[in-house]
Order: sequence, then C-alpha cells, then structure tokens
Amino acid sequence: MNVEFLLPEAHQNDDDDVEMPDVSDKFVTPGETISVNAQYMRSHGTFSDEKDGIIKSSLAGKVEIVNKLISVRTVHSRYNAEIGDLIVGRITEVAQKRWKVDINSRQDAVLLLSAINLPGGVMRRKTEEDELQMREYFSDGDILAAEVSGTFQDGAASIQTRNHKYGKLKNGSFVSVPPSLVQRCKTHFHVLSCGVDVVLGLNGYIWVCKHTPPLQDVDLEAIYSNENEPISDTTRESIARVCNCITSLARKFMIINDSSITLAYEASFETQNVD
Amino acid sequence: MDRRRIPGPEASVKPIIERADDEDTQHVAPLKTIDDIRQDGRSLDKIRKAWLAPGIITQANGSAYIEFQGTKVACAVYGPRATKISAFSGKGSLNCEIKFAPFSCQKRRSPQRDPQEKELSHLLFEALAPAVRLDLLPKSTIDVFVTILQNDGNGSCLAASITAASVALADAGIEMLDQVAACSACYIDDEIWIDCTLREEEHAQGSLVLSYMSSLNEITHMLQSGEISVSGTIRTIEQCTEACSKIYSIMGNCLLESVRRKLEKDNTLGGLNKKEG
Amino acid sequence: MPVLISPAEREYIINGVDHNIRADGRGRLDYRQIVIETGLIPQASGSARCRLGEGTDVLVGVNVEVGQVDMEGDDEVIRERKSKRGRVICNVECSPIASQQFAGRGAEDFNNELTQTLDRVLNGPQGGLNLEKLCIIPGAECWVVNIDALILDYAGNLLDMVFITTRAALHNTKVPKTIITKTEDGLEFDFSDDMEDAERIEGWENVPIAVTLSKIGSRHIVDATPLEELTVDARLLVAVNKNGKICGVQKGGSGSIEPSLLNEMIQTGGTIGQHVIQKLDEQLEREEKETSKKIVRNESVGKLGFFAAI
Repeated sequence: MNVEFLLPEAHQNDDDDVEMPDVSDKFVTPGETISVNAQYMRSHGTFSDEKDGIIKSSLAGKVEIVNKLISVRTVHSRYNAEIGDLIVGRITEVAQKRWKVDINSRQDAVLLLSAINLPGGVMRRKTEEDELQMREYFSDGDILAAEVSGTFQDGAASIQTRNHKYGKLKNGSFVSVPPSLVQRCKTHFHVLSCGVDVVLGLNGYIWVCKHTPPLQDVDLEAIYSNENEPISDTTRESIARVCNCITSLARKFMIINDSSITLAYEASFETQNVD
Repeated sequence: MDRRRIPGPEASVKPIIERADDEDTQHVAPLKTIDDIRQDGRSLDKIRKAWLAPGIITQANGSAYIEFQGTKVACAVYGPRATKISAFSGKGSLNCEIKFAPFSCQKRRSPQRDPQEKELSHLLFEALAPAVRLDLLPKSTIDVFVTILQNDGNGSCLAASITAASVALADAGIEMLDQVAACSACYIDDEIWIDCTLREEEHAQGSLVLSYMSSLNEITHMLQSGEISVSGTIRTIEQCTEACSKIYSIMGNCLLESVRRKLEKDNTLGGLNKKEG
Repeated sequence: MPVLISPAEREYIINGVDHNIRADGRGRLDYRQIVIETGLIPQASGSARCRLGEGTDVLVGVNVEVGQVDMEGDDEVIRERKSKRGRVICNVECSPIASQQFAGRGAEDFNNELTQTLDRVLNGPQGGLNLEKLCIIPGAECWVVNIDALILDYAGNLLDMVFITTRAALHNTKVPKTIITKTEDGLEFDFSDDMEDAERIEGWENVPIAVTLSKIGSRHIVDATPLEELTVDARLLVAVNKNGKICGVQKGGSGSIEPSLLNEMIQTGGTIGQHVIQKLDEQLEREEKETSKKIVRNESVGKLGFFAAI
C-alpha cells in the first residue's frame, strides 16, 4: 500500500549548462523570415508570399537545411505518413471491405481487405464470406503493426500487413509518445537484452511485449487469434520497466531508439525504490 | 362609501381553533415505542407490505406497478428496438429514465428532469445492467421508463424503481440472468431500520440502498450515505440482503401468477378451436 | 481519453492485476505520485491543486459567502435543526481542455454524476464541517460554502483526486469573522474585511476522502489508469474519514459484486483511506511550515501555481 505526496517543483533551467548552440541552429516562429536567397527550395513548414522568393516559416521550430531544401521541424506535430514507414495503429471502425485505423495522424489510415494475409494460403482469392466476416480478422480496438503502402489525396494513408512480421500485436502493453521522437532507421522491431521486444512505430505509437522468436512456418490461423501466451512475472516487470523508461524519455524529449531505451533501462536499476 | 366593493371589517381577529389534546401529542409522536414497534406497527427489520402487478400498461412491451404502502411506482419497458446510432456495438444498450411526477412529493417537482433524477436514472442503469443479457441483443436498445407516482421515502423510491424495472423486463420477455430485488435501510441512533418512510428518513443519520440477485448471490448495486463504522455497514448489507430475498420471492410469485393466467387462457382457446375444427 | 482497447491488451491487464504487477509496474494497492499545492488562487477563500502521475489535474476553489438558511422539511424538529446551520454547495466540472469528449454538452451527464457524488458525501453531518458554526443569524442568514472543482486534465482516478483536493482546499479555507449586533429590529451582522481576522473553517480535518476500488477479474485495484478503467466491470467508491468511519459507498459500472468481495473491498477501502488521509495531512503540514518559514525570513511566498514543472 503505497501513497506518496509531493510539493511542486520549479522548472530547472538547463540553459546555463549547455554551450552556445551553433550558428546554423536556427529556431524560428511563424512569420519569421528564414532566407532571402532564391536558390533554396521550400518544404514542409515554410511558405513564400512574394515573387522575389523570401522564404518564411509557418511553424514554431528548428530550421533544417538538407542540400538546398529548407524545412521546419516542430516539437509537437501530427504524424505525416510516408510510403515505406512502419506504423503501429488501432482499429477504430470496420467498414465495407476495409478497416479505418487510428495512426495519430490528421486522418485515419485505411487498411483494405486486399492488403492483409488471409488464413488458408497467401494467394487465396477473396470470397464474399471474407467481407462479411471481417470482424474475425480485425475488430474494433485491435492493435496492429503495418507498413504504409500509399497515401490518398486528403492525407490519409493506405497500410498493408502482408509481411508475416506485421499484423495483430499481442502479449504486451501500449505506449504513446510524440511522433518526432521516433526516427527512421533500418529496422523497427528491436529485441532488448531483458527478454522484451519493442516495436517502434514512426507515428509515435509503441508496442512493448514479451520476446517471441521469429517463426519459420507461420500458422495463419493463429495470427488473428486474440489469446495471449502465458507471461512470467519477471517478463511482466521488465515490460513495465521498459514502458516507464519510454515514457520518461518522451517527457524529457529525447530521441527514442533501441540504444536510448537500453541505457535508460540500465540506469533505472540504480534508483530502485519499489521492489 | 364605495358600494362596488365589499370591504372587510376594520379590525380583524385571529380565528379560534379548538386544539384537541390528541393533536398536541401527534406533533411530537415518537418514531417508535419502547418495544421497537414503529409508527405503522412494524418492527425495525420488516419491509412494508408490497403490492405488485405486471402487465398493466397496454402500449408497452412489458410493464409493472409496485406499491410499498406510501411509495407508488410504475415502470414500462419498450424494446428491444433497433438503435439509431451507427457506431457498432457488440452489446445492446439499456436506456433508463426515472421521473418523479410533479405531485409525488410534498413540494411540487418541476416537469423538467432535474440533476437528481438524472443521477437516479444512471443508478437504475447500473443496478439492472449486470442482470440483463445485453450480449444477446447487438445493435438494439431497451428503454426503461419509470414514473414515481407517490414518494414516501427517497431510498424506497429508488429501491421500488429497481424492483419494478426488473419485473417489467421479465414481463417484456427480455432474457435476464436473474431478477434484481432492491431494498433500502436507514441508520437512526445507531440502529438499522429497514424500508423507512419519509418521516423516518428525516431523522436518519445515514441511509443505504442495496440491489441484489438472489440466485446468483451477487450485489448489483449499492449506495450508502451518512457516517457509520465499517462493521455497521457490513451488518446493514447482510440485513438488506435478507430483505431483498423476501422481495425476490414476492416478485417471483407475481410473475408466475401472471404468466400462468395468460398461458392458461391460450390453452382454453386452443381447446375451443379443436372442438370446432 | 482512449475509448477502445484490444482483447489482447485487456487480457494482459487482467493477468497483470492477478499477478500483482500492473502495466506500469505498480502493485494492486499502489497510488501514482501526487503533487499538491494549496492557496494558489488569491480571490478564493481557499484553494488547492492536485496532479496525479503525469495526467489527472484537479483544481478546487472554495468560496465562502453569505446566504439564506435552508429551512425545508416536514418535521418541525428537523426544520429547527436546519435553521441553525450553514450550507455546502458542491459543483464539479470537466473542462473541455481535459478531453475532446467534454466539449459542448458532452460532459453534462458526467459532470452531474460527479457533482451528485461529491454532494452526497459532503452535504450533511458526515461531511465533517461544523455547519452550526457557519450559522450567523439562526433562521435567517448563514455562511454558504461553495466548493467548485475543475478538472483540467484526465488520466484516470478522477473522483479520488477531487476529494483529496477538496480536503486540501478546505484546510486552506478561511471564514471571515462575523460581528453580531443587537438592534431594535432584531439581530444585525457585519463581517470584517481584514483577512488577518479570518479563522480557518472548523471541521476540515473531519472531511472524508474517497477511495475508488476497481474490480478487474477477481481482484481489485486502486488508482486505475485510463486503459485499466476500460477493463473494469465494477467500481466501488468508499468515502472514509480520519476516524475510519465510512461516510458513503457507491457502486459504479455495469458489473455485479459478490457480497463477500464487497465486504472485503469496503474494509480495504477503509484502511487505505485512513492511510491516505494521514499522508495528506503530513504533506499539508509540511507545506504550511515551509510557508511560515518563508514569512519569518521575509521572503516572498510565491506559489508556483501553473508554472510548476510537470
């Protein structure tokens, strides 16, 4: 039985410790001019309202210049889907031959019935029965890992789970962080040393679960089952610890990848207060 | 002098009222005698005489009327009907509404739903939901409307509403896990009084309303207010559970009687047809 | 505020509760960290703000003003008793900033539910406050204590936080001193504007707090997060005061509870409630000592209010 009451703390000023930032680190607010040079091309977060090409910022954030492309990166933003991204989403609606998936973006993503693996063989033809039995595959509230295969004009993404790595997620816990903290890297399925798997969705949704070795023969009937495997107490504790580490990293606005999570996990053992 | 108006006398005097001695003692009549007999002749742990009749409202799919002497409550059930909301739901929804009739209490109640009625409606839903098999009625709604015609104890009104609603649901042929019986109790001077009238409630330091499913031995709802020790609360729960079992048997008898009457009628009609055919 | 949960997550949470290791590592009866600050609204007679974990944020302001005595009732004895008492009016509001669902009329029913629960526990002798002391002129004027709770952020366990914050706000509440003079027309009163003369409201230490026990599977937990709340089938709110007396019990949710489990939950609620009150009082005392130390040292007593670090 644990109850802890604390007094509020004032914000700590870290600025005194940090060295003066590079001159190239430019932070802008909406309406501020970034560049008067016409040779730059503008990207996300910028606009120019005059013909002489003065580029102004439309967001509050940091200016990023890659070759000749100027864009502005913000602290909080909705996730913008791009083809090839790995995302973790939650089903919000079951519609005709498709599912609507919440991926922390402006619009819900669309998962078409033709974009999932159906039990009974990879190349099975879709029958009418499948359309009526859509809830047997994915139902409201299910969490899945998928890849963005395309985008519609209104900004909605189209996702697919054809790879056996993707699909319904089980045996674990869900954490939500700002999307900008998850960066693109080679793989988003990480195996941590404590027996915990982490799926880092680029949209800020993260799934922490018990380690399952990659299966050689995928049992297609089992991938849509909702049953969890039995989880030991130590694994459960590790999953909880990793979730708390990720939440703390997010609160301090640090990049989340497998190395930062592992460092945070190891550091958390030093301040062990609850057994 | 103004002949159009009839003026009253210039000096007026208070009327003389004959105050009988009985009325004086009535004013300060005690709530109970030394032998623990209450004003209406009950002992502390007895519920009031109940009168229960299902199927009295013709328009409704199911209905019930219940009287606990001073408390009179009528309930009607409409449904299951299709829900207009498009959002998918695997289970049916139960919509409960309790309304006090404007003439039901000492002070006239507004015809508009006030916050107390909205809360009572929510409590009624919480008491009935565990018993109704909503999982067998996807995309459907059941409407339960309760009107309190006479209020003789706030706790007993809620208890009577829950009981009447349960009987009405059974009368409407909606599948349920068990009947829900409810009863109320008050603490007056550290004693537990079951099923109190309005006058007794005013002197109470606390009250409790409990609804209970007898066969499953599960409590579907509990609402307690006022200050009491933990052991006192547990004792009251036990006494209320016993009173609920008694109400449960009354509900069962009334339902069986009404079902038998209707089905026997059908049998005789069948007999007639056979004769002619 | 999540409204959907997958069956796999639900099973994980239920099993976790069974093994006493919840999704964030807590035990079944562990609370998240609570940051509490009182006296941050200068215009109110008393105020307090509580933040739970990194989510639920509740702000309570108490305003004491002069009003009419409530003299309704059938029985003359009851009316006589009521005419010598002050009144308590409660109001809980979920601000739309806490969740999109609370915009417009979305929160009306929810607000009503919370208000009625708070009112049921605080209004009456079990509410703890000395209502007799709040009466100015019997049968006519009295002090009316307006308790307004505002919910600024939602991450589960709302009612418990509202009660804890209300108790802290009442600890902080001061009632102006009244001077009653006898004139030929009867009694007249006046109150001094000097805040130094104001007295702390009497009976604040008897104000109960609530413990919400959520039944998940066959076990019960305290302080549920939003995802855990989605897996709960029945809740029991137990209001306890400093002396371990039960001041209110209310069951919520659409599930049912077995009588022996109900008794267990009430007993657990009572023990936990007393423990929480003890810790809360220690914290309030600590805060008061800090403030008086600052006054002695002639430092400015600045309340952090909304500038506090999250």
